[in-house]
Amino acid sequence: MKLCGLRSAKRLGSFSFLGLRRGWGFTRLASLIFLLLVVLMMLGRFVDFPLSVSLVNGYSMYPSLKPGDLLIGLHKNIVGYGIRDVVVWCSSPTYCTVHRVVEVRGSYVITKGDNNPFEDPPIPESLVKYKVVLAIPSMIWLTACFTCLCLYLVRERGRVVRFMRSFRDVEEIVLVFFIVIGLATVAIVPVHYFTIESVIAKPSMNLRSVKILDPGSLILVNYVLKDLNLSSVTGCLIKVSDQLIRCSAYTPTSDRVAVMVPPETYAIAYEKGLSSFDVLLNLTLDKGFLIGSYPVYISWSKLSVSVNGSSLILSNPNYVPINITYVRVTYISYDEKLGIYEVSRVEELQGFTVGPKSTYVLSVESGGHHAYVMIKYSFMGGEVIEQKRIDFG
Amino acid sequence: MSKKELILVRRLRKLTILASAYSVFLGVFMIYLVATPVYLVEGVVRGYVALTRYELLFYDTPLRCDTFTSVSLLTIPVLILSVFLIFTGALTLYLFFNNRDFHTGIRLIFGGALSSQAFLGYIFALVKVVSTAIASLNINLNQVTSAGILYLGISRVSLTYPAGYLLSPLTLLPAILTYVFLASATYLHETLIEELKTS
Repeated sequence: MKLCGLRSAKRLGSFSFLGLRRGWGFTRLASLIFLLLVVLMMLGRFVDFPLSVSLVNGYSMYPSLKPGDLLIGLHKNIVGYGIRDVVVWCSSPTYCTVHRVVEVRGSYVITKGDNNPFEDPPIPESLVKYKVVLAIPSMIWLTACFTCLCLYLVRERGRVVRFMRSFRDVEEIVLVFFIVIGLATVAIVPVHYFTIESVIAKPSMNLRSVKILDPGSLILVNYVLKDLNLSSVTGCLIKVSDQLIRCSAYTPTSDRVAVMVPPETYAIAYEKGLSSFDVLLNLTLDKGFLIGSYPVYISWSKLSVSVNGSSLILSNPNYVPINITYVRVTYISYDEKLGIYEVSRVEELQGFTVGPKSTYVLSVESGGHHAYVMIKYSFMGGEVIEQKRIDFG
Repeated sequence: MSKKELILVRRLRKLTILASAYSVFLGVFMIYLVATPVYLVEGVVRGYVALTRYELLFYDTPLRCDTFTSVSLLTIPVLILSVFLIFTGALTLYLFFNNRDFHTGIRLIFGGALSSQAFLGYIFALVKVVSTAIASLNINLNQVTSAGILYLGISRVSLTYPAGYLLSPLTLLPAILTYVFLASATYLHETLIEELKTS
C-alpha cells in the first residue's frame, strides 16, 4: 500500500498543466489564480467581461454585504437580472455601485442599497454590468489569498530574489513598488456614486385637514409629517378681517395642533358677515420650525325651527348665540256651536338665547285647539320672523 | 581627490542634507494634508471630511458616505509613501551625521521622489472625487408646503484653512517638484562621484 502510494505521488508530481513544472503545480496555479483575480477585478470595470470580481466597501448594502466582501459577478447578458437581484452598475470605470434592483421601468433601472433609506436615482439599463452571483466574506478570501501568497513566497523564494535582483537599482524597486501598490488599490477599491438623496430622509410636513370641533371652541389642525415631530406651539393668532386675536394652542399628538378659539372670533366674523378667518401658527419642530396660515371656513344659517308635540324646537347651527328678541303665542280655540276658530288668548313670552351649535326647546302650555308661535330674531343684520303652528291633539 | 571631485563631494553633502530634510518635511506635509479635514460641513449636515477619514452627522445621526469610505481606502498608498519619505529622509540624515555610508539613502530618496511625482495625479484624482461628492452636501431643506413655510435649515460646505487650500495643485505641484529636483540633483552628484571614483 505504501509503495503504491509513493508511486501515485510520483505520477502526480510529474503532472504538467499549462507548462507548470513538476512539484511546482500548486503554488503556480494558486499564484496564477490570484493574478487572474486581480486582472479580472480591473478588467470587469473597464470592459464588458463575462466574469467580474469586485470588492465591497461602504455600508450601503449592510448587513447583506459587508465591507471587504469579495463579489463574483456574471455579465447581465449571460444570466440576466431582475427585481431583488444585486447588480453592479458603473457610471464610469471608476464609479461603480453594488446595489439591489428594486424596479425596472422601461429602459431605466432603480436600485437601492439595503441600508440606504432611499432609492438611487433611475439609471439607464445600459449602465448595469453584472449580476452578483456569489459573495465571499472577507475573512475567507483574505485568508486564502494570504495563504497562497505565503506559499508562493516560500516555494518560489529563489525566483523572488532573482526578480528583485533584475532591477538594476534600489530606486527602481521603490518606484515599481509604489506604482504596483497604487494600481492594486485602484483596481480593488471602486469609488461609489454618491447622492445625498439616497442616504438621508429629507423631512417634510404637509397639511392634512383643518376641522372645527363643535361647539366651535376648538380647531384641530392635522398634519402629515415625514421624519419630523411637533414639539410645541410658540405662537397662535387668529386673524378676522383686519383684527388679530391671540389664541392658545397645544399639541395633543405629534401630528396635530389643537387651537382654542376665543369666542369673540365668531362674534366678529358674524358681525362683519365674514365666511372665513385665518389661524396663524408658529410651531417648533424637532428639526426646525414652521410658520403656517390656515383659512377656516364658516357658514351662517338661520335657526332651524320645528315642532315636536307641544314644543317648539329651535336649533342653532352657528358658532354664535342667537338672541330671540320676541316670542308671541296665539292660542286658537274652536267654537263647536258656531263651527268657527277664534283667538282665545295671546301671550307674549320673554326673549331667550339659543347657544352656539345647540338646541332650545320652547314648551308651550296647552290651551284651545291649537296655537301659533311667532319668534323674531336678528340674523346677519336683518330681522327674521318665524311662525309655527302647534296642535294640541 | 581632485578639485572637481572635492567640489562635487561638498555639493553632495549639502544636497544630501537638503534632500533628506525635505523628504521628512514632505512626508509630514503629505500626512498632514491627507489626515487633516479638508472640508467642513455646517448646518443640518455637519462634520468634516479629510482624505483619510470623515465624520458627518445629519441631525445628530451619523451619515455614511461610501465615496468617502472608498477615498479613505484609496489614500492608504499615499500614507505609505509619506511614511516612506519620512523614514528614508530620517535614515539618510542619521547615516550622514554618523559618518556612515548614506548612498543607499540617496537612492531611496530618489525612488521616493519619482514615486511622489507618479502619485501627484493620483492625489489630485482623490481630491477631485472628494470635491465632487462633497458638493452634494450643500443642501437646502427649507421648503414651502401646504402646511406653511417649513424652516429645516441648510448645510454649507467650506474649505478648511490652511489644509483645504494647501491641498491644491498650486501648492502640491511645486512642493513635489522641488523634492524631485533636490532628489535628482543629489542622485546625479552621487552617480558622478561614483563614476569619477571608478574611472
